[in-house]
Amino acid sequence: MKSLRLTSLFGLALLAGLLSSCDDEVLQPVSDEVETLDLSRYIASEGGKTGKAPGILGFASWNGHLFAPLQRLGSDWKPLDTSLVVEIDPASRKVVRSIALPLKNPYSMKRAGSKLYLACVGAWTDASYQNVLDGGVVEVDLSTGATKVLARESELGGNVSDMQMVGEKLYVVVSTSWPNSHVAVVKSGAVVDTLPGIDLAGGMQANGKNLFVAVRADKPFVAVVDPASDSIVGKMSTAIEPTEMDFLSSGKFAILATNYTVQLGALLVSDSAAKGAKPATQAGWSTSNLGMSVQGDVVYVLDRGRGTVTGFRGGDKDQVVFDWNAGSPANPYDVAVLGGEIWVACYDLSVVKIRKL
Amino acid sequence: MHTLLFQIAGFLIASSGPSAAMDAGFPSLQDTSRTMEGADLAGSDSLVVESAGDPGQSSSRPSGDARIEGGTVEGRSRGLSRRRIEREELQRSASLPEALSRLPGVLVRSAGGVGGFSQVSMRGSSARQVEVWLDGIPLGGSTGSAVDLGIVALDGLERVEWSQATQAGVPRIELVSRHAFLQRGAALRAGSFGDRAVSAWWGAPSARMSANAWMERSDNDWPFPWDNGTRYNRSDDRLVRLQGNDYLGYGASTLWRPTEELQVALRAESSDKGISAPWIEEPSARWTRQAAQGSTRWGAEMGAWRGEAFLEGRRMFGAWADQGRSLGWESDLRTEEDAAMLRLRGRMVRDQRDWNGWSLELEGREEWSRRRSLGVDRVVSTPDGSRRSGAVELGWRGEESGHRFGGEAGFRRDFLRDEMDSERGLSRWVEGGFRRARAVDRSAARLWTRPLEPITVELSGVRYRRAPDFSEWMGDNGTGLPNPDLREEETTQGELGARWKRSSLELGVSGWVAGYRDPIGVVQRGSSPLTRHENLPGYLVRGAQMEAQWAGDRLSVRGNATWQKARVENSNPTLDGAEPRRVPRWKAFTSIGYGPWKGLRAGWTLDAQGESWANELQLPEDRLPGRLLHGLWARWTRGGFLLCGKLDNLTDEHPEDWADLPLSGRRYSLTIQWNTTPSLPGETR
Repeated sequence: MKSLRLTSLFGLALLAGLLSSCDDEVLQPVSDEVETLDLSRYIASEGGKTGKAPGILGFASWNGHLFAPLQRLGSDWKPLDTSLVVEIDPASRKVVRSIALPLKNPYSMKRAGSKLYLACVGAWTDASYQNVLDGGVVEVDLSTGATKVLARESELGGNVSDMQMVGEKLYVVVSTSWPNSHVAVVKSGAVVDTLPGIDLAGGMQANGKNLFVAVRADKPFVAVVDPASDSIVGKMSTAIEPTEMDFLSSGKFAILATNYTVQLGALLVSDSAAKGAKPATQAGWSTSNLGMSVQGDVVYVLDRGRGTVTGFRGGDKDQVVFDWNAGSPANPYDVAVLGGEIWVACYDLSVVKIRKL
Repeated sequence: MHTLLFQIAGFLIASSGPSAAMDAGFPSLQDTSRTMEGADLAGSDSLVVESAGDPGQSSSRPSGDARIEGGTVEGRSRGLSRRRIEREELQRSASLPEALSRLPGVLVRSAGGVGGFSQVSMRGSSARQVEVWLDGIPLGGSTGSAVDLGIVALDGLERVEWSQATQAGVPRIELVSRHAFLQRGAALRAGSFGDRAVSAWWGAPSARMSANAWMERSDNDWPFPWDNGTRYNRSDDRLVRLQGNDYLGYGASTLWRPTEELQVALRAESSDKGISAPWIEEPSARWTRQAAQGSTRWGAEMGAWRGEAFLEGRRMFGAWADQGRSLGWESDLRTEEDAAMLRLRGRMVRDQRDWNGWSLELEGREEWSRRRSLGVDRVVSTPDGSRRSGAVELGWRGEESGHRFGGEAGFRRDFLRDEMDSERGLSRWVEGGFRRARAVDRSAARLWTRPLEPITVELSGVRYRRAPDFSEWMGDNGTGLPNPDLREEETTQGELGARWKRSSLELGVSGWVAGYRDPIGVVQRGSSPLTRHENLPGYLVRGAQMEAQWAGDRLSVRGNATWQKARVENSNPTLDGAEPRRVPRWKAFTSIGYGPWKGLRAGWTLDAQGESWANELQLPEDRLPGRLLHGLWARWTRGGFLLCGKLDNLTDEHPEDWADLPLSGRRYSLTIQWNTTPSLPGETR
């Protein structure tokens, strides 16, 4: 009996060793030439506190250079240091200028000509979940570096999360008491109106004729607004709640839609942005942690959790022209395409990743 | 960022998750000394008699009073929706989640491997709605209803009982610690991917005391093909191995019965595992958990009644840490949770074979939890909270003297008072805190009849409510708003079925409908990053299941299949009516066994699931393939010696229960066990 047990144990060990060796490891690192632009020197540091990463929001391309807002939050994700817009020369891979912002924590941006508009939210809430009205909308003159506060949260009555200039009017998404997010109309620095019928606003976009507002209601849609009358003149129903929108160079209209509750994301594309248009669902994701960037005629969808960047020409799921994993810690927030290269703003890293297309 | 892993980690700490077992055969009406697989007593580890009342109240009696049962209760119908998985079946399973996954109507989602994060849902429920009890003590509760079953070691269990509808009306998994009375022995296990386990048990000859200890570990570093997160780009697809996914668990339990009336049980266990995923480049997150629980039970016969009193307590300590570069930067994230539960209850049971089988239970309970962020970098977590509750439960069971029809019913009301302690923990709380009092009801009823001798027909219904966990209504110190007005989740189920048994052949079929109202989920609205738990639109699940088993002298066959149709209810027309993601329309389990022949038994198993959807958009490319997992097993026994080997997933499949977390492929395990029954006092051999 004793010899039987010993034999069994030996046989067990031998068998275990043999079977373990059957699992040959095949690990093939992907070869990929990627340059990086180090922005770690812009990590927030103030009053003995530091941040984790500069918090790059994205890119605005103007005059051959890239302009990147940096949030510069603390390690607790609260505003800490002065937020900046850094100007990057792509040819030299260097930061050639940094512009200090008068308000902190830029949350979204839009460029119109040589002007860059930033919704600087500052802090969202205090310890009692009450809104902190320390932000506003900032205009940056990219040529001179001059900055100007166009509207303050204290006047708007809530946290700002997006804005859009249409002529002389500034439209601002304002989040007051949860879950309300309305659109305030600002003219000459004063709130003159609120767009009717919109209380769950997401992002905005304009095409020179109309203003488009994402409405994240239970029956979601994109509101088509006439800036002359500030009234909704049409709607585009979307499969799930629209978040971001932009126009392709071909005139197509791309919408990134997300649903946080079921963790769902979708790219919707319509041939035009007009009332009654029906954006078609091109592709879906099992996450709501997504971003979108339109570069020419290519829509780039950024999976911020997985770190992947996928480019769809014409927004067509059957025309994938780019599909790359920038690394999961990257948390890609935006891309810029210029000179045959793609620049990826990695929010959670202190670098911008650059690779050839 | 890292949404799923943060959800897992957050669940592991907050014990609350987003979005729920099986047997060698369903219970026979007649006493038998042989299980479905023809197990002989050499494979049986204990002489445990199940009390004829509540399946959760197992009572172990000295051998002189024992009835040897291989998974049955003599002469007492246990219902269509109740199953028991005995020790032998557990031993032939890779993990507790795998053993449960073979139950009809049960869906297991697992990160895979030994100790891998695993949740169970039943008939379309959320994991939070499935209660998991260990030796009569609930593992979930106010701190988190969903339970991670991956860290429950099989070597620490004697059996598992599954009930879709207990007398209290709640789906429940009952885990019973291994208490090896009148036996002693040890076992070693080795398997793929660094799977190693050792256990030992001892029972006093007087049958008054037993002890069991176990340890298991695994590297969980199985290789699998991965698309690098780029589903359109095939050039970067490669074979990877998960790093930082190892697991170590150990524990011990003991049971002492100084008198016939008194029983004291203690159990302590610890687990330590890495949290990893293929998209994490430098995984460094780890989750540890230590728990200890004890119960004292006193019982006495009082004429036709049996009285029982219980004093039970459980203390749990969990910690999650990520102090590396999982997040792209050097981080120091550490959070701890300290939770406890103390319960005092008493029952009176009149369990007679007539129409007057009554039970009354009164209970008082206190629970609390404390959470701390300890690292340099703050971790978002829920506040400290406590819950005081009292409950009254009334049950009835009766049957006709000729055992041709009968019924049972139960009603329970819990009175809860939750309180958020705003003075402790983190600073981001509303001054004065929150208090919430509520009453939660549960009820169940079951009628059965035996119109013809081999046929039993059963109709049952349950209705139960789940009170929100602390983390659901108290909010957190990040972007989670509190919602004191959150309503309880409500579930209503009905089932009609029949069972036919003749000689060695048993067949069962049933259909059921489950309605889920006010399920709780996290909502984000507008442009604000703030979120809040809210009651969402309900949904309906319809299903049917069938089971069959046949046992000949040597050959045995059993199987079950479940068809289930679930539809999401959503105010969004696009999502309304969609099938929930990763829920297959059907699943099946089949097993063929042969033996014993010269002490050897062997068999083949098949776990199958149908197609499902990756998400609720249900585009053509979102369809996920089903799975067919073949397995082989063999057991050889001689006296007290046992050698058991199994090979799972013969075709090396890598299905996913969660996106981008493939399960391990082909794997083996070998177990050597020595078990002996010492002579009883006065006994000669």
